[in-house]
Parts: sequence; structure tokens; C-alpha cells
Amino acid sequence: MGGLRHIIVVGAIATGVLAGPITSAQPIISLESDTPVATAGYYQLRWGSGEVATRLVEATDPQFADARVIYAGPDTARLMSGKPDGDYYYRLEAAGDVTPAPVLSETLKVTVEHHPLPRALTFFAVGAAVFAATLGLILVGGRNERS
Amino acid sequence: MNAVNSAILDASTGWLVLAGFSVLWIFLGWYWGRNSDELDDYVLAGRRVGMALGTATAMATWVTSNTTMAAPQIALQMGVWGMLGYSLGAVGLLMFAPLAARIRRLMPGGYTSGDFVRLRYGKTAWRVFLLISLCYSLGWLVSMGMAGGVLINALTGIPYHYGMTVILVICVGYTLLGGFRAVIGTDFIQALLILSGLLLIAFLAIDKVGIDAIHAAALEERPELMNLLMPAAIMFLFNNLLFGVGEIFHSNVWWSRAFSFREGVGKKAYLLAGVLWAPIPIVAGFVALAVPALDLNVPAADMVGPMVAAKVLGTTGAVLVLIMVFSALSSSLDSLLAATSILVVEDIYRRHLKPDASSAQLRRATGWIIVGLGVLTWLLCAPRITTLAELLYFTGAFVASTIWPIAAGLFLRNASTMGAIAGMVLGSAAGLYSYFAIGFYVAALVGAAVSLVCVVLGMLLQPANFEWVNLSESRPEKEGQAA
Repeated sequence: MGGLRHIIVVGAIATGVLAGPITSAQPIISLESDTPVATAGYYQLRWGSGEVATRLVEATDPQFADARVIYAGPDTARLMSGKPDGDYYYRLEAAGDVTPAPVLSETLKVTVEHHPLPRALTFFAVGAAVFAATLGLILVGGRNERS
Repeated sequence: MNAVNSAILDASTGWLVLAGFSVLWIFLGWYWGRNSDELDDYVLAGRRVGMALGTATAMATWVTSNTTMAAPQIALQMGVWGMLGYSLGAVGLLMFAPLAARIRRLMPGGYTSGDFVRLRYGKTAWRVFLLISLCYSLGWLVSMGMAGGVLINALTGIPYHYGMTVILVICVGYTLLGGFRAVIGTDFIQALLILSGLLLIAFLAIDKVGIDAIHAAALEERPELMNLLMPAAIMFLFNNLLFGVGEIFHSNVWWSRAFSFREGVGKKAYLLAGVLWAPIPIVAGFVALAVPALDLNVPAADMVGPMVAAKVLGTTGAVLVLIMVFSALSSSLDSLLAATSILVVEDIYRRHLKPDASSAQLRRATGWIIVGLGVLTWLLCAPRITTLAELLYFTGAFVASTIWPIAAGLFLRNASTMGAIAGMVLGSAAGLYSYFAIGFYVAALVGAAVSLVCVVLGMLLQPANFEWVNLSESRPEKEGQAA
């Protein structure tokens, strides 16, 4: 899995234009992830609520050249899952028709790096062995009891 | 922080539903428990539970926050294997069936799983086991209290702390009034509500969204969920199976049912309950895969089940989900309160503090402990420090380490005290280490594997020669007279 790098398809809503630098007049909303490196493939993004309507933007390009809006609404968190290996960048923008949309948060980077497959298969094999041994114990124990 | 600002029901509707079912459960608790004055009646329903009620209570208790809320959570986090892996929890019920029959036969007068460990392995192993079992019980109680708060918050916008408090107060109330009879009786009704609700939601989700649309959207938005070689999901499969086996093998929730079933009922009831339970997590988990197709924002993983159902079914459906999951949580919370209270009364109060307690004193102590457990659970639920599944699987490190001490102790004369203690201590330690070093999805697996090695080594290095008849003396003569 390590060599796979999927590129997020540019969404129709993506502006394709970099937002301008954040000025002191613009509100800054905190945006954070519960983990910087997601080895299980999922993570939660949380952000503070501001006075303006916001939207959450995702990109695989640190400059947000391929940005797309993944959520616009009143909630202040989102569970991300099912992502292939890669670096993902997030930021909050002001919702609305203004182009470029004012950026309301710092850029957040989350790396998805799934466990190596051999490690996963090793755990699978150990689990199967423990299960088989336990089942065998119960079946043999039950048979001995009957006899 | 309240991350949900898009609840589908208004708070007044939520309060109305909660009030209606709260009155119903409390009334039933009072009604079924009004004649349970004797200790055996109050804590083990007189040891005369039949096949229908036995199967329903086993299945309903196993359908809990685990299935109704954490199964969709795991499906959303780990995809198809997460969903299917969750149904392997049924293996625990199936494997416990022969154990239940043997427990009933070897210990006809037993009260708790602690009784077995004390008589089989001695007091040191018993105390280690009690620590594990009580930690697990508390973890499970807290996970369900949290589930109640999360569910009500997701569906109605009622703040987490209010919802969590309502669930706990109601369950403590009717368990206190009715004891084990009320638990089993309400379990039967709750099982019917849960099953019919789940089937309706799954049918409507497929009917309204369509399997093709669900599959296509998931593949585009969250492709790894469809990947059958997703590493964490592969690691999770046997972890979940062993976690379920560990939960059932050691917990007094299941042992107290084995003691309460009529002779010959336990094995069949657990087998049937396992078969009936297996499809439930698949149905519950499947709805989570509809998230991309529905373009639904899920703020926290453990909210996904009720949120999808509410989105698919609208206001009426949200009310249905509220009733269904409220039933699922109640059926497990009451069972756990009842089983943990008798574990504390029998193994701590009676065996450690007041060996000459009369039956009436034990009956009163059980009530106080139910209230105390409720208060402690509320205090631990209040900070909401983690998600449901992560809390649940934290306890997996402990419970999976009891699988081999219990199973070998029931079937093999040469299973030794040293092996059992080492298995529980080292298995728990290894499981905890892996929980933090790798993830919650391997803790039970590692704990069970290390415990197995310890128990087998114990049998080889210091084999015991246990006499099964010793297990039937679960109550010393003096205490038997007092009770």
C-alpha cells in the first residue's frame, strides 16, 4: 500500500485560485485533527465555530491547487475515513460566492499511512491460531465430558 | 463542545419519547419485581428461566451500544471487513453454549463467575480476576452511558449530559425495583423492538438509496472502505472475535444467566441467541456505508448509525431509532447493573467484608450497589474522554486475557493457578501495550495470545490435578444457613 498515492479528484466547486493571505481583520478559526498520522486510515477533524458560515476544504496539494469543498454547514467536526495513503491538506474558508473565498484557518496536514500488509497478516494469523486452539479445547473438552 | 448542530428532531419530541419509555420501563420493573423478596429471586430470577426468555435475554443483552452504535462506527472506519468482523461477536455466544451447560452442571448453586475462579484457582487468581472483571464492567457501563448521551444528542440536539443522565437514571431505577426478573422481562420486549427497528431501517436504506448508489459513492469518496486488504481491518477481524469471546467467557452478565436458566436450557439458548445475533451487526453496520451516497456529514464516528437512519427515514424514522437504540442500551445497561451488583455483593461484600451477612442484608446491599454503580458510571461518563469503540476495545486487553484461564479451567484438570494468574496479568499487560503502541484493534488479540501461552506453559511446568466436585461447594455451610 505504501507506494500508492491517490490523487483527490478536483471537485466542481474547487476554486482553483489560491486565497489571499489572512489579514488581521479576518477571523482565525482553529482547525485540528485527532492525529497527524492516521495508520488505521481514519481521523477526526474538528474546528471552532465562528461568526461567519464556513466550509471545509480538502486538497492533496499543499498550495490547494486541487482544492474541493468536502463540507459546508453548521457542524464543527467531520470524521474522515477510507482514505488511501497520502498527505491531505485542510483549511476552513468562508462560505459564499466570494472568489477567492477568504481563508479562515491555518492549513492542517494529515498523513494517511496504513499499516504494512505483512504486519496485518501476521496479526490475522496469530488471531486465527488462538481462535482455533480455543475452539479445539472446547470441542475436545465437551467430547471428553460426554464420554 | 457540541459538534452537532443539525439534529433532525426537536428537543421537545425527544423528551416526550424518553419520558414515555421511561415510565414504561419503570412500571414493568416495579410490576415484575414486586414479589422478588428472596435473594435468589432478586438476583437470579429463581433459577427457573426458560428457553424463550433465555434466548431473548442473551440476544438482547448482546445487542447493545456495541451493535447499534459501535458496529456502524467500525463500518465507517474500517469498511466492509469492519462490518463483517463485528458479526464475529456472535462466536462468543456460540462458544459459550457448551460452557453454560457445564457451568450449570458443575456449579448448581453458584452465583458469580468470581465463585468459579476462587474455587478453581484460589484467592490470588480470584482477586486478579475480580479486578479485571470490575474494570471491564465499568468500561462497558460507561460506554453505554456515553452511547445514550451521544445518541440523544445526535437525534434531538438535547445536550450530551442530559441524555446520558436520563438513560442511567431510568436503568438504575427499574433494575433497582425489579431485579433480575425485570431485566429479563424488559429484555424480551426490548429484543423485539430492536430487531424490528433494525430490519425496517436496513430495508428503507436499501430501498431509498440503492445498493449500487451506496457502493459507487463509497468507492469514489472513501475507497479504502471497500478494500478487502485494508490492513487495520484485517487486524481487527480476529481481535473482535476474541474480544467478544473474552467478554462473554469471563463476565458475570453471562455467568449469571447460565446460573439462572433451567437445567438443559443454557446450551440451546446461547446457541440460538448467537445465530440470531450474527446478522444484526451486518445490518447495523451496512447503514454506515451509505454515508457517502447520502452526502452526510458525520462529526464523530460513534454518531453515524443514528444519523444515517434519521437522514434516510426523516422525523418518524428518527423517533423509531430513538426508541430502538434506547431499548438496546437499556437491555444491556440493566443486565450489567444486575450482574455487576451481584458480583460486588457476592465476591467483595460477602466474601471480603461481611461473611455472615443474612439473605436480607445481601438483598439490601445489592440495591445500594446498583445505585452506587449508577453514580460512578455517571461520574465517568461526564467528561466524555473518548469514543465508544475506543473505550470498549480498551477493556478488550483485559477480558481477552481471561479466555484461556476460564476455558482451560472448566475443561482441563491440569490447568494450573500459576498459569491462570500469569495469563491474566501478562495477557492484560501485553494487550494494553499493543493498544497504545499499535491501536485498539489489536489489544484483545495480543492479550488472548499471551494468555494462551502462559496457561499452556503453566500446565506443562506445574500441572494441577483439580477435582471437579470442589466447584459445587460454592457456598460455605455457615453462609448457606444464613441465606
